[in-house]
Amino acid sequence: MSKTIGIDLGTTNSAVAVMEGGKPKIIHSKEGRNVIPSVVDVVSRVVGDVAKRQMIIKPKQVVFSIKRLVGRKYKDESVQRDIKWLPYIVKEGRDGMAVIEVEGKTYTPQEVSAMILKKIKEDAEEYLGDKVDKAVITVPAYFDDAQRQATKQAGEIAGLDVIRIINEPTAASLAYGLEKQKLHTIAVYDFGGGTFDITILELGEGVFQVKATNGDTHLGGDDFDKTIMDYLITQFKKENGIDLSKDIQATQRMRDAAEKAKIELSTSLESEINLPFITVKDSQPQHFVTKLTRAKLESLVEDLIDKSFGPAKDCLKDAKMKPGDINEVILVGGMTRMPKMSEKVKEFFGKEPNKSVNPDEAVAIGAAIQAGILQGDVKDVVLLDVTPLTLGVETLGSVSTPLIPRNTAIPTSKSEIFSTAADNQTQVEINILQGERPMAKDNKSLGRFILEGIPPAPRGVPQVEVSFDLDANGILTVKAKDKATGKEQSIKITGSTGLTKDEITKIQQEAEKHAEEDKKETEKIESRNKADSLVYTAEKSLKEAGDKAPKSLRDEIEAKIKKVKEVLEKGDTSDIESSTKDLSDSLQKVGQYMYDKNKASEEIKSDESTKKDESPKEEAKKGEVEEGEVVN
Amino acid sequence: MDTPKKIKPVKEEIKSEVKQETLEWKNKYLRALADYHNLEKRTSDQLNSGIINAKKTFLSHFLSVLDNIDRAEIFITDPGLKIVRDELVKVLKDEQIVEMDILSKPFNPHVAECVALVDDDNEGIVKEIVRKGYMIGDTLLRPAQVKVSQKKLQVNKSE
Repeated sequence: MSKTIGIDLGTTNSAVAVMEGGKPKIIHSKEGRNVIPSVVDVVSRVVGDVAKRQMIIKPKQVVFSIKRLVGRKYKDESVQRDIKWLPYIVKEGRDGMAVIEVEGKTYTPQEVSAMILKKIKEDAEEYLGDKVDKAVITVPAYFDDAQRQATKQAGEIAGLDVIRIINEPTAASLAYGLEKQKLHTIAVYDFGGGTFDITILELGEGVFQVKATNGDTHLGGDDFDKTIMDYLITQFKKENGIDLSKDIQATQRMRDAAEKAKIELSTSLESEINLPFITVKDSQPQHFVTKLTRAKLESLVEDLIDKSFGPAKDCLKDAKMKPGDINEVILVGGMTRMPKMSEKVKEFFGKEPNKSVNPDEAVAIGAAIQAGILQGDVKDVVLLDVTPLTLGVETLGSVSTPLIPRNTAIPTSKSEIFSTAADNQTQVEINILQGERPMAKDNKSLGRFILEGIPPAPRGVPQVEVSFDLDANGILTVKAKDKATGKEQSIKITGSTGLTKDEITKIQQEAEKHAEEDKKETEKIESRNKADSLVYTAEKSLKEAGDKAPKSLRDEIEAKIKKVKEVLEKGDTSDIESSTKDLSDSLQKVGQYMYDKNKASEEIKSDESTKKDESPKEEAKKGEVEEGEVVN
Repeated sequence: MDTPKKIKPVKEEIKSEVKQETLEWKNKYLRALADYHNLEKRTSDQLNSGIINAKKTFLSHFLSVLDNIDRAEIFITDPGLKIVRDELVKVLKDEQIVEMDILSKPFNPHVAECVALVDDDNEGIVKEIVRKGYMIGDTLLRPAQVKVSQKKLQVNKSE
């Protein structure tokens, strides 16, 4: 079955996404990028980066910003304004529509857009390994019927059946999953490479309604780069008295450095600009090394950011709303990554903007989701059930050890090997737990059973395999098997996912709320378990060493064992840790001593248990790896 | 005695319903299985291209260092600098990164970006390299930035 793709056909860049396994995914271009420059060499029909690299050589045949002309009349005010700066020839075509002329041949904007769409289609086909013949294409909210029609035609020329044209801001809100909520008002703040759009829409309960839209068709990221570059050039002139603005090589390096700094300053507070050998003065090489801080950058571009709030105010006015009426603000377009921008948006709307979806990809992702809905993928998809809460068993020290983490798709199964916590332990109790908390007592016990008949052995030696099997209906079967004897015991639990939605949310919230204290408690238990193991090891080695170890050393260790036992009772984590370390240090001396004496020849008889600290809970089990440490 | 007769059609109905459902599940299973196989294939492809991309990103950072050494060589004549440069070039070459040979050749937008035009007798020839371009194996690592020749007359004609 062929797939339907979602296309964000942009003024500067375009992007494409597809639904895969019920999730939207951005398709990378053959060049390995998540966006394709909307630039076309109309003669050779080359699109994207390769076309963009020839813009200077073929200014009259490499066409960019074609979206500004799509579906517009030649006499349109905006077209008249744009032809003043567009390097290629724009003419009046049939029905007074704007067309372009290259080498004496006229092309409609639809044809040029179709070339971009064709490249997108081909890249998507290569990625999917399948034919693509249907698409959802996005357009700005302000596009009129003619512009929408022309966009649809462009798709058809490219061999795509355009099953729906949707608004870019609507697509962006789909990407955020906002259509699933009840009816509410959203502002989409879209700051792209060359244009700025602000749209207020009502969304939810099957309603998508644009209340108002506004923008600035000549305000975008490119202006930011230029501002930074101009600043760098002025800065250099101030320092060295040399004007680099006419030096192509130098300005090229400055431009790259400006863009790099801009991106870097979205995540760090300072960026170093390093341009050695930028020019020559009196046959001496000149270097340009400077630091650009985020604060400086913000002061440079503040005017540009502020420019966007004029249209934003008008938009609110048109929608007859106040900033407070907006329930949700989402950010789209690469420039919105700038912290200052989201800060200003927050100031304006009095609300933290939503920016969890990649702003370059949000529109294409939303288009893909729309495509999925139309194709039936999204609605009809068998959503694999997931287990909403973690399932695990209780182990030494009443710790809850997870086996199947939450959000695992079911059916699923998992097994792990555990061991005994005490010497000669002949039975283990398997307590099956459900929940996110690290301590057993804080989670729900779904059931418990005892596996008996484990042959007596030192702790950590028996291998008990515990396996969980959760079927598609949420029925959990837990089995415990002693690897040595093959004895096994099992239990079937039917209510493992039988929680209501509210209950699940409550449990999850509880886990988050208690995360900090739980962590402390887990640490405490861990240090206790460590101390406990060490006491065991110490007593065992003392026994093995017997009289061969000097009395002073034995006394020292015995004293320290006593100390550890004491603090274990009191239960202060840091005391336990320090006394454990103390004992561990002394214990190494025994090892060293034994080694030196080379007493390896004498086999030490395995002894009966030396220490009993079996609280009922400790008949549980520990992870294999940790046990390895204990045994050795 | 009537009852069995009545039950029968119901049985049939259930049977066909079950059959239908089985078929549906079978289809869904097959589709899921196919999806899984495809995913498996793509995951391995993605892993490979992921490794290559990570390598590309990492190594391309060194290109600007090399650019600067190239610039330094114009002013610093000490042979030591050349040794440093040669070493870096060798390291890159071991990773299959090589400079493209494009000077005085026809401009190729697949590997180079034109940043300026220069008047000349011939057209479309790379006259000067502003920033060197590099390939990694058969693929483009960083396009070159070049100045390209252009016949003066031709410009006027196309106006």
